[in-house]
Amino acid sequence: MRTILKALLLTMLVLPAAFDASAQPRTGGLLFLGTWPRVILVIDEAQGRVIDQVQLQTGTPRDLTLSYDRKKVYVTTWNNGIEVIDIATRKVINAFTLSGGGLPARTSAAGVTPDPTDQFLYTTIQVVDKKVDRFEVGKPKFAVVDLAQKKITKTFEFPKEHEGPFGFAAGMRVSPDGKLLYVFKEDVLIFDLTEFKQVDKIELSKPPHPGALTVRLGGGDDPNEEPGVVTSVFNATDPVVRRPIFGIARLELATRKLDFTPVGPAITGMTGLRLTPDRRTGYTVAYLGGNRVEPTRRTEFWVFDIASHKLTKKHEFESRSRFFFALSSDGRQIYIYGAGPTIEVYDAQTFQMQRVLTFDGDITTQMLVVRPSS
Amino acid sequence: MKHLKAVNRKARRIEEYVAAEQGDVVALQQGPQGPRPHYPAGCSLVFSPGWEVDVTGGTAGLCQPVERDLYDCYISCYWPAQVPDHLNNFPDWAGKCANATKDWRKIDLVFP
Repeated sequence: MRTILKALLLTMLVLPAAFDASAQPRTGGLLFLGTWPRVILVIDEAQGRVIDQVQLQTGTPRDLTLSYDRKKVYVTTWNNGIEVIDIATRKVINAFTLSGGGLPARTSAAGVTPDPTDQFLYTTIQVVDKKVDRFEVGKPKFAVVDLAQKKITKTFEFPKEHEGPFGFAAGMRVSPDGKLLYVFKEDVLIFDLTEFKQVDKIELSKPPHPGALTVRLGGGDDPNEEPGVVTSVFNATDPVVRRPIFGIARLELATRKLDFTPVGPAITGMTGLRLTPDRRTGYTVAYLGGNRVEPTRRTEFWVFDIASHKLTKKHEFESRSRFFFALSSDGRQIYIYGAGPTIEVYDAQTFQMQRVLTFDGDITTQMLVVRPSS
Repeated sequence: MKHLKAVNRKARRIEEYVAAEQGDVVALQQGPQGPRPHYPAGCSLVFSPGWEVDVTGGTAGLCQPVERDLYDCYISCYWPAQVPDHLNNFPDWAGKCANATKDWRKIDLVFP
């Protein structure tokens, strides 16, 4: 009996330490980061150093997207190129440019989103035709890129109300069954992928002015997000007094089920929400006292309890003029980077800066955080 | 602008919106609008942040050092008057310089 009691007492003493995240050894996720001129850096999170460099073939990296199976990285380049990097071998396994394939001239492809089979990429393009005396800029279109054929196989017109000069400057996701495309703009627009017809719309917000992007999907992919789900900070309008508010929303892509919980009055701006591995805590950076380009604006780390949708912690920090934000794969460090060759690493609990990682090239993309198990 | 007259509902809404910006009645949450700066002649009209001045007319909101902003402006043709454009005329302008802050002397000299 005494032995059992001793064992119980020992367990009670050991268990809290076992669940303390800070007591766990670093798990060593990988960071993929595009830098000048044509390099993707592979950084070991635990060591905080570059362990590999992937040379691109088509141009300077512009955007990084994780594949649906989380085993590859899709890179779009500024020269209209698309390259596929295998995460295990860190080699380019597919590379091509979109300027061919029957298109008359330059296309502009920003972010892409893969389908569940990782055979196709969905994106928006704008064809620019160079004439003798002028450029002719075409209307923005949806495009389907076939990775095996290495070209755009289908294009579809935008809905008339969205034929703006920049098309959909918004995040996109494909449903797990591959049938629906979600476009996160002022509202969440849902398209049927067989004919690219809009089949549904989840109204969230009346934007402060036409064209304002009020829905935040966040840059890059969140490695800790549940597959088939988007958890994000959304702006919306109070239906009673028409007051702008922000909240946390969880959208299930398979069922179109949206849970939106208001948190407080809308603020000037926020970066995308990033989750810890247990998905209980979310981090973002809030801009206060001005929009993100004003020199008088302040920046704060905001921490949310996802279950109760409460803002639990705030901490002001000095930020560079222009930056991106990311959370490490184990949720214990915050990365502030962009506009230059450095990443500032902060402790996610104390918000103290731990170190600055400096690279040989200027950063050109958002960071892709890849968990060890991905 | 005083010679233009709104003829449809959308144009009248734009007029009302512009007039509301100048008005002295604001929502409590919004706060009063401060005076906007006068930008130096020759500056571009987009400030995100600006190349020579920021949105307030000063320089505190610019990237520091300024070379940190160089390549994003170059590659996206954001400031085609101040920085060579990557898309059409100078695709190799910075091909020999990966880090603009450290190696800016390696950047090519180009003329329009």
